[in-house]
Amino acid sequence: MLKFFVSISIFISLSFGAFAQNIKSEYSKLDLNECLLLDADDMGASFACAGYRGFPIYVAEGDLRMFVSYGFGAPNEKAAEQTLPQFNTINETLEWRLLQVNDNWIPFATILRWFLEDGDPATPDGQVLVVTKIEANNTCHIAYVDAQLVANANEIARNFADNESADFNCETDEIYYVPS
Amino acid sequence: MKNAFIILLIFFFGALPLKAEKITSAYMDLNIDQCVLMQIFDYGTQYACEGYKGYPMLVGEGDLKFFVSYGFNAPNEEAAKQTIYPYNFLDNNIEWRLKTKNGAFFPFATILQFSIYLPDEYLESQKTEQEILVVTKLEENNTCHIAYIDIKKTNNANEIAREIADQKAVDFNCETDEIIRITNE
Repeated sequence: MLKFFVSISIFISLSFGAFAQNIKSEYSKLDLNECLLLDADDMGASFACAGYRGFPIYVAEGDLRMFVSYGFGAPNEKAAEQTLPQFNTINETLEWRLLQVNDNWIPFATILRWFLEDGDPATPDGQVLVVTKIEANNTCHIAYVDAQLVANANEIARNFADNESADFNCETDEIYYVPS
Repeated sequence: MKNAFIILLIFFFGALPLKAEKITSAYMDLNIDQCVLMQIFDYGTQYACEGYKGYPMLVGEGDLKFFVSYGFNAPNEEAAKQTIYPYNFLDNNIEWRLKTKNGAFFPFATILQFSIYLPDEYLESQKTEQEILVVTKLEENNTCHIAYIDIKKTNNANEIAREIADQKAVDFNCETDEIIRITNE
């Protein structure tokens, strides 16, 4: 079994191509009670939260929907205006995809589970993994993976993060939907 | 003389019954090895470090000097360009001054020790020329150094730094006001 796993790993590594890129995940807590309340009014609230090793996170809540953005320019990134159409909340665990550059691990994407409610108790609530790319002035959602319809949703989300983040243009590219 | 005057002023304001405003400190570790690399330039590197409850904190390193700025606009704040010459390194502990806002504590200033050295001295003997407490005010688009307190030449430097933070940070204008310098000599 272990052998099988090793050979799979090697196969995956090889299929990444000629230049071996080291990518890994780290997980951080995203609990609004542990964040810093920036502003609050009748419409909603905004928070600063600590991400991977202090990577800045901006979280806003408005009209029963959540907005999550990253980096020093987080409030001005496209991600700060992106949410899902249904009423939603976010999970308390955030997955960071990191690329090794010399001795440093640099975050290039996150994967976060959003819980959806359409307000109708008769229909089941939904769960979507949102993949967000991180790049200064180009931080936005790149993929929505339905966590209930897709069997290996986390793996697929990671694949989107790893393969699509680098080239994704927040202004011109369209968000991937799985299933489409 | 001027310094004595400032101390007197601080004493005077400190003795006034303040509005019931709750101010407190939070201390946090500051270790670049625990931060995340954000950018590499020809002349240095920028890191994000964990600030109070996630308040964004930027630490820049370039030419043997450190630059520390705060908030989501940290890279564009005045503080991102401020350091102490000729060379310095940072203490590994930072004090956040906090007061209540929206029912919770919110940072309005930090106090951080910069150790100043001449490169030869540091390499040969790890000797530092000066140790300066830097008080930085935190406000979006108005984040900058507001005071330098010479630790070796000032009694209760930390207390004075806190007083300046508490009395001066809110009204300090980064564009027009001059940095307060304290040495009891």
